[in-house]
Order: sequence, then structure tokens, then C-alpha cells
Amino acid sequence: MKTKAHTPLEQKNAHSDTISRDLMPRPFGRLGLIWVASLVFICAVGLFFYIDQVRNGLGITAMRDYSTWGIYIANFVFFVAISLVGSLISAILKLSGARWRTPLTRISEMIAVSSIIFAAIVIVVDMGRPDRFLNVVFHARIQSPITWDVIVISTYLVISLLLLYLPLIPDLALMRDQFKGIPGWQHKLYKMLALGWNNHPEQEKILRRSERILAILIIPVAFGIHTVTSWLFATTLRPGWDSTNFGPYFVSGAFMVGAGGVIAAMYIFRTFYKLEHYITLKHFNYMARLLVLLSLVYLYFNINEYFVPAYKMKAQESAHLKELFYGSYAPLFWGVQVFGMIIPLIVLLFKWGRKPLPMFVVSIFVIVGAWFKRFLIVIPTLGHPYIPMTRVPESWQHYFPTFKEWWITAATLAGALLIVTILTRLFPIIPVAETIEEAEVAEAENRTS
Amino acid sequence: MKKIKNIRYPGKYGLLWVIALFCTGTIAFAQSGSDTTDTGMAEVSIELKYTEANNKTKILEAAVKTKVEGSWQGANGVAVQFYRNEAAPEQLLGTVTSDNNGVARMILPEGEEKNAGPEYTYIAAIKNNERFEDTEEEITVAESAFEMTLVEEDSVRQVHISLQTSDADGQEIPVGEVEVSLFVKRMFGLLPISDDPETTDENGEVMAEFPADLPGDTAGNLVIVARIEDHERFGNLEFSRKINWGIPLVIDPEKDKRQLWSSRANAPVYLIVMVNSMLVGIWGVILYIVFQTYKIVKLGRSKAAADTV
Repeated sequence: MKTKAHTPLEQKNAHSDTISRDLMPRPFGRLGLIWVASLVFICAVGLFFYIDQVRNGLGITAMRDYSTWGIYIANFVFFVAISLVGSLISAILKLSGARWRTPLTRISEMIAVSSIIFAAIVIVVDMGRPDRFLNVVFHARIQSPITWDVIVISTYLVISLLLLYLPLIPDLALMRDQFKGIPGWQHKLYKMLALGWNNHPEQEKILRRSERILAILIIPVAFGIHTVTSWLFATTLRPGWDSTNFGPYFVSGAFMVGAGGVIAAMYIFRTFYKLEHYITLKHFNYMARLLVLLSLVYLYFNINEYFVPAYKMKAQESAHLKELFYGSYAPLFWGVQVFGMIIPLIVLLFKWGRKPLPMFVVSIFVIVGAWFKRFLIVIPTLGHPYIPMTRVPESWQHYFPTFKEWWITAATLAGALLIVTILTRLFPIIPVAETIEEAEVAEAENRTS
Repeated sequence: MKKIKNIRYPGKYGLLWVIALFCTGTIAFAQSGSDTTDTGMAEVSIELKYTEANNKTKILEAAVKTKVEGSWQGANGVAVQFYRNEAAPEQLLGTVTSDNNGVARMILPEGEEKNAGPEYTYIAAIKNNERFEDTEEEITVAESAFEMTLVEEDSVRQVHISLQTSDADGQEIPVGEVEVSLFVKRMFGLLPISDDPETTDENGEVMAEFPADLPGDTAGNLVIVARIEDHERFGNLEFSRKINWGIPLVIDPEKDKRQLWSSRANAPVYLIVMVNSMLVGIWGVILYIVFQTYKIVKLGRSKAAADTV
């Protein structure tokens, strides 16, 4: 942060102005426009293929009688997982008093909101007849984990939106009052969303209380959303899914990929928006330590998940496990374990590994590893049903996604990134008002000391 | 028995057709959906089956298939003409369009084959179709009398089956060495009574013991089915009868109670209470927060009004 030596009041105003100028959303540069155009292109082609799927049915995918869930569901689990980052940064770190989290809260909430929106969209994409989604609403069986999942996803989405929106209100008021030279609609949008905010002490009191309540509320819902998602698998009698470990296994994996997502976003925004004064080496160091902790927890659950069934090697489980350990899925399985978990763990233990660029590379490993991990959870199990496959074409006994399936999946990922990109174009990536306030407090503390 | 007549029109300019198709590329290919022959028409085949149930209902079933990307698949929406004896307009029995599985099914009018002699021939044909080549398939079946009687003596239940055919003079002749399978109708299909089919003796008869431990409906009723399948002379013959040889089903009232696996109307009370309590609790808080934002708006307005004054 740049400061000038003046009177305290002048210094305060200088701080505020600098911070506001640094953190206000900016128009896209050339790279930004290319980025947005690429995402729009991927989404448009994906939409075209999806229309083809609606017209011709799920036959355009590689899903058949046995592999009834494919990469759409793996992608859904990935989106649900990464969305948990919102609760990790905005709630768990907030309640634990980690003040360093401030510059990361909005990034994590934006990732959470876009991911959970696309988790819901992907479920509809996975349906051959999307109109029948309404049946889940009108004919829901309260006994079904699918019903619980629909309920908990919509609840989590609403809470995440509120957790993104409420801390944004003071910033919206700042933009309403100070942001000049913007289109009329944008000004109107800020004015409408700012809810007449004018730093009234009572308003601040209400806002802080509401944020705190939401921070508490989102934690059980976040645990609920991924536990219920794990129950979609664990409540069925299938090799690889029939596990009592699945709830915590999914939740720990979700926090890990969420932390990876935030680190990647931190690096990108820091580099392209020149935010080195706000997202500092200290933040990377803390996030690295957090990621190490989460990786160790996830490693522990992975050992439980695979070691215990492998030790027993029950007849029904053995085909599935052997396929993972040294069968056709072995390269992917070991690749995910090594690159997605072990290497990040080792790299982050070293000081040089906790620098921005190595951490960015490590976070990409974690994210890609996490996506394929969901692939490995969903797909190989379906290839080993308890009742042997009979009288089906050979091609139905395996699953490899079609080109259209890959593209539709890529389009959902691009769509989530597009939402984050648009949000960062319209709103500050780092909370402005909160940063100013913290800077003032720090300044005051410095003066006192 | 089965004679398949495929009438093809290779065309004088077959090669030109191929070149034209190649030039039009994937568009023409995608439109037809089926693999085409050198005539430009899609290849098609018909499998014709004859089924007679209880010596009364006679069904002709034509499975229409076409090659799509090298594999045979059912062709729907194809008009199939059914004929008797020969594929001539005066012998037309009717036209049926194939369903989504590519099957065209026709129930023959009662008494249609009377006085037709010991054997009769049916033909299924696709003619003048825009998509497919003209194709025919015929099936010849012999007159038969397939009967099943159910006898209970000294607590032993027996199924008695007889199969007869008739000669040119109308005399009944027993048919031996024919495999007959016995089933009991269940909710989703047929349960075989024995591992291997029974075989008719020189009198055209089969006597099989029926198990006494099969569950029936609430009155103990079972539907017993005897079947001859894909016989070269008779096609498919079936005879079924309902009899109360089953163990009456006692409906367990526990099943109607509220369980996890019950219908949505019978969800367990504890689950309804638990889920709804959580929903009310969490959404109550969410609504409270939304109300708080309304208070922020109100405070903003009052401050703005105060500033104006």
C-alpha cells in the first residue's frame, strides 16, 4: 500500500483513495477480452451440443445401461466440492478470528456461488428429459437422498449468495458514490444493490450481525451439502461406494480442492490486477499451510477408503479395487494420488514451495487431480455391478465419454469461470470498505505503539 | 419354412449414386440415419413371427430392422403390409406401422384361417417405402391344437399337455418330440417351472408334476403357461390357465406402515419431522437475514430524509 506522510486526517483520506482506486473493478484489457471471448465460445458450442442432446437424448453420450452416471455426475460432485471454499474462507476462518482472510473472502464467495449454480445446472444436463426435473419438486420422496440433495443445494446457493452480497453492500455504496464515468445502467445497478447504505452505525451493526449469523449457518449446511452428495453414492450397495467413510471423505476432499481453487484465483488476480500490496506473500504462506493441513486430512481419509477394503479384498470389491490399483484405471488412479495429493504436500512443506508461482502450479495439480478423483469415484464402480453384465454389446461394458460429452462438461466449467469473470468485472475482487477499515485500524495501532 | 425375398433395385447408375452421396457428405447421411446400399435406399430386414395363444388369438409380429452405423436396429414408423398366401392386393390382411422398437404387430381376425388346409402362409412386406428397399418375408405354419389340462389327484398336481396337428383330410395326428416349456406368470415376467423343457411323447402328450410351494395372489391363484417356442412347423404356441394352486399371499400389514422404502405418502414420521424442522430452522434464519436487509434500506431512507431536512 502506498502512503504519504501528512496529518492523520489527510493520511486517512489518502489511504482510502489509494485503496479505492486500486480495488475498484476495471474494464477488461485485451487479454481479458480474449479470455471472455474464449469462455463464451466454449459455452456456445457446449450449448449447441446440449441442444443436440435434448433433441436426440442421452444416446449422444457414452452412458448406457450400466454406466448410467458419467462425467456429468463426476463434474457435479466436483462443483459441489469446490463450492465449499465459501464456507471455509468466509465462515470457518472468520469465526476462528483469522483476520488475514479479508482479501480472500470475496474471491472465495464468487467461486462458491458460480460453482453451486453450475452444480445445479449439471444435474439438469445429466437428465435425458430436463422437464422431468419438476417431478423431483412435485413428487419428491422425503426418504430419497436425491430429494435431500436438491433441498440442500438450493439452500446452500441462497446462503452463499447472501454471504457474497451482504459484505458487498458497503462497497456498492462506495461505487455508487465515487465511481465516475461508468454507464448509467451500472450506476443504477450499484444504487439498487447498495440498499441506501450510508454508513449509519445502526446499518453497520445489522450488517455485522447478519454476516456473523450467516457464517455460523453456512457451516452445517456446507457439511450437509457434501455429505448428502456422498450419500447419493454411499446409500447404494455397490463396490467402491458402499462405505461409511464417504461423508467425511467427501467433505475433506472438498475443502482441499476449495483451498486449491482460492490459491489459483489469488495468483491470477494478484498478477493481472496488480494486487501485490493486498494479496501478499503472507496470504500465500497461510493458504499453503492450510492446504497442507487439508491435504493431510484428505490423505488420512483416502488411506481409510482404500486400505481397509484392499486388506479384506472381498470378492465383490476385488474386481473394482484391482481395476484401480493395477488395471485400466491405474495410471489415472496413481496419477491423481501422486500429483493431486502427495506432490502438493511435499512441495508446500518447503519455503520456496510457498511462493506464489510454485503454489499456483501446485493448486492447478490439486484442482485437476480433484476433478479426475471425482471421475474415479463415479465411473469405475459402475463397471462392476454385483449382477454380471449379460446380453449387452461389448461397448456398453466400458465407459469413455464422447466428444460432445467432454465439450458439454468443458462448457459448464467455462460457464462457472465466466460467472466469476463477470462478477470481478462488476464488483471489487477484494472488499474495499473492509480493507480501508482494517488499514485504519492498523494505522491507529501503529501510531499508538 | 421361412423364405425371404429381397427385391432390390441396384439401379443403372449405382456408382453415380455413390459419388453423389459422397459429395453431399454427412448431411445426406445424417438425414437418413441408416446405412444405405448402392441404390441409395437403406437396407432393411424383416423377422416374421407367428404366435397362437389358447388356440384362439393369432398374432403376426414383424420386427423391422435397419443398419445404423453397421449394427442392426429397430426401424420405427415403417408401414408393413400383412398378406395371406401371396403378396397380392386381394390377399391383404392389413397394414400396420412399426412402433418405437421397430415391431409391427397384427392380431388376425378370428376364424381367418378356417378351411385353409393343414398349412397356411403369411407374408409381411415393405413396399414403396421412401426410406427402405422393398422387402418381404413369409412364414408357413401348420394347423395345430395345443391344449393344457390341469389335474389334481391325491394331492399331486399335474399339468397335462397335448399337441395335435391335422393331415390333408382333416384327421388329427399327435405330434411327438416337440419341446414344451412350462411357466408361471409373475409380476415382471414368466418363472420357469423346470430347468429344462419337457418333450411330447409319441401320443403328442406331456405330463409334468406341478410344485406345491409357489406363492399365488391373495386367493392363491396362479396363471400357468405352456409354451412351444420358435417351432419350425407351428411357430409359437401358448396355452395359459388360471387355477388356485398357489399359496395364498398374506399381505404383511407392516409393509403399509411408514418405512424408508415406502411410497412418499408413507414416509416415516421421524424423517418428516426431522427434515422439516431443519428446513424451517435454516430457512427461518435466511428469511430473518432478508428482513434485516429491509431494515438497512429503511435506515438508509430515514438518514437520507434527515439529511434533506
